[in-house]
Amino acid sequence: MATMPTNRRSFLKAASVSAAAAAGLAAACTTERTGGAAASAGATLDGPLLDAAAEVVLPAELGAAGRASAVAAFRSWVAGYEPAAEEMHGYGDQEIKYLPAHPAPQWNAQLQQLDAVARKTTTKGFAQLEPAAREALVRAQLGRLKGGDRMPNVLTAPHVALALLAHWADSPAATDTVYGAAIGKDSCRTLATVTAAPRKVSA
Amino acid sequence: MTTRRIEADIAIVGSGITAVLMAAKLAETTKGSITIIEAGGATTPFKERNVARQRFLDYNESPWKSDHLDDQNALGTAYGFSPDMHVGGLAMHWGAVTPRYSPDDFKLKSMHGVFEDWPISYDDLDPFYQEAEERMGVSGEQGPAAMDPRGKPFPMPGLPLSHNLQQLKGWIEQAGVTMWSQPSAKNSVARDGRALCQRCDTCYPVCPTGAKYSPEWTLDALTNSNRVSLNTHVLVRRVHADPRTGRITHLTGNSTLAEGGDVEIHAKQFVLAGGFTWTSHLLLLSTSSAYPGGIANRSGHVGQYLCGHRNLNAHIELPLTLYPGMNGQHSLVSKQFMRVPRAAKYLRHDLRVWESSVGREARWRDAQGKVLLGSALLADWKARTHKGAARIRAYHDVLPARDSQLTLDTGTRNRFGDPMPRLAFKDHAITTALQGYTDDTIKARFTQFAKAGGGQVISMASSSNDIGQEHPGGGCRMGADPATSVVDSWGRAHDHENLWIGGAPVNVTASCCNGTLTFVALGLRTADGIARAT
Repeated sequence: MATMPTNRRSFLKAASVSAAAAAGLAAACTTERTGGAAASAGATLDGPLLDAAAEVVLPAELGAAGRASAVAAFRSWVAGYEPAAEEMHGYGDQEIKYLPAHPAPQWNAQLQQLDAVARKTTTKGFAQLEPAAREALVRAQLGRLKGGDRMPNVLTAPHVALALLAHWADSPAATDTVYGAAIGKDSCRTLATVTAAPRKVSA
Repeated sequence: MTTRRIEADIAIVGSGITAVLMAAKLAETTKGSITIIEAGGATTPFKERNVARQRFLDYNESPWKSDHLDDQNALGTAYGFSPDMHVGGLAMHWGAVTPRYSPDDFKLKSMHGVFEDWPISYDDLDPFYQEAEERMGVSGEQGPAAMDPRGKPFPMPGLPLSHNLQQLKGWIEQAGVTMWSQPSAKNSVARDGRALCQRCDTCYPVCPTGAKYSPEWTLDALTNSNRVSLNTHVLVRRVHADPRTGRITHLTGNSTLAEGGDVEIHAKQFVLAGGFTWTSHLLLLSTSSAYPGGIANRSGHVGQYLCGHRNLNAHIELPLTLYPGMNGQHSLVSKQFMRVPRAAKYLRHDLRVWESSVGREARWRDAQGKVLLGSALLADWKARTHKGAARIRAYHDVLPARDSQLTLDTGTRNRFGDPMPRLAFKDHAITTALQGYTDDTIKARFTQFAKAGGGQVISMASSSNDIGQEHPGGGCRMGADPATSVVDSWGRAHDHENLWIGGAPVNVTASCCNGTLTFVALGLRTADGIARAT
């Protein structure tokens, strides 16, 4: 290897450590969600209608608390979305793209549509229907959609029910539920435990 | 408006990973002043990267703010984010995968009877590979010596294999393939004041912990020590030479801030380290009556022999219990197919294997098209996770044609009126003739690997050439003959004794693996040459 003068190398290394420490480089990352930022203040979804849809869309195995958590995370995502933010540009992509318009108005309209159909076909609003009746209305809407079976990207989901499902399915909690293991995807974790299979959790 | 004048003993154009590590070495091995010229400004500060990472995950937002100049973009098959211009360059975004080329890469003609040899050997570059690994901090596992020769051990132990990668290693060994932990510029232990890797799994595009090497760590140290000065928002637009001596006299450019003022850079030694696109572009722009083809271009080869590689990628279902998400960006690697005997038909490729969730994702319709909701969706999802999946990929050599090249497109200009670069990657006739054999052979290998583990191929595809080639380089290739190359084996321009070109542009070929470590090693070797010349 080429000889590197020890004194200068040591000096620069020390300077590097100093700069790194000043920047807090040794600090662990956190996994806090960013939703709820002021970016889309006012962009909210109808609460009772979304909750009513979530009850028949999300797995019952989540329980009430898990479902509430999933819905809260989805609401937070909606609130934090920033239309026209610059999109990720990967290797092989030289085009600068910007995120599309906010999906909340369309999703709210779809919730209102579910409610309107409920009121036309029954004497109740969507949120007041029995779960089976709500599920039938949602299925009818989703059944009209074209495309394959893949869960869509949340942002481009063609229906609010799919957006909610996709947001939950993309979460670390959903993956852990499905695999019955504490994988903790997308979270910052120690390397020390990576060599062993993840700890089992109730599926 | 007055012209801003920058003076230094050594001027380096570009602040990416090669430029910065060359500056670090020159700061240690020379006594003069060093200045770095960068067309952009600083991007997302470290303290904001945790939030930037989460917004990338949540919304696919770019975590790198103000990382480009909108009017400075390449046209054509410009694989890579060519408008990227900011402090630290593209290596702020990189995945920090750091394989070395193999000895074969430097002796393709001698060892395999194809194309050309480089003017240097693997052994010539080995000390500089080591130096690059030391300066960045590379964690690596030593592979079998015959496949993975190196003079000294890696600076840090290899990143540990996850449970998933251990299972996959067991599978691929059944197929007769030896694999090991992919070398990466990520801390497997705390080093240089930076944290160890926390497998956040967003190394590419953004590491929130500082465990991944970024040029800024080095640059901050250099500028904090006042050993190197940094000039941001200065776009170098022309290189000027004395026609009598051939020596470069100065560079000219403009501020990329709104005022756009003129800038002159005077130095004794000039280093162009702005990547494979913008280095050739700058040289071709620098025409004059004495240099009608541009600077360093008496051979007519500036912008030519652009090189890279393509890949075949497959997903394989295997009877293994895997947990996707444990450390998805880390992989197994093998050089078993990079180091091969001479054969009637030339083929070399690398091999990498990752955990995958392909085929195991949630879906909202079943095979009959029925909408899945709630518990039915969950049950369907669980049922498809009983088998594991692997992603396997082989980069294969693509030998460049001479007219695989960058030219100036006068139809598209930046704010200063400079024509933008147009790139067109073209395969050498050898590669064209072998492409079918290459694809068929690698696909057959993937199928055989799957069967050896009792699995099956889910999907398999070749990358196309219509967006260019991966890990691109070339445009100022090195060589012993000034008639067929732009720089000598040290990166010094044949035509100008004080002009040096660092990194990707000097590549003769691009091997069949990620290129950044080699670009940096070449740059460090060039810095060695500069130190001896000053």
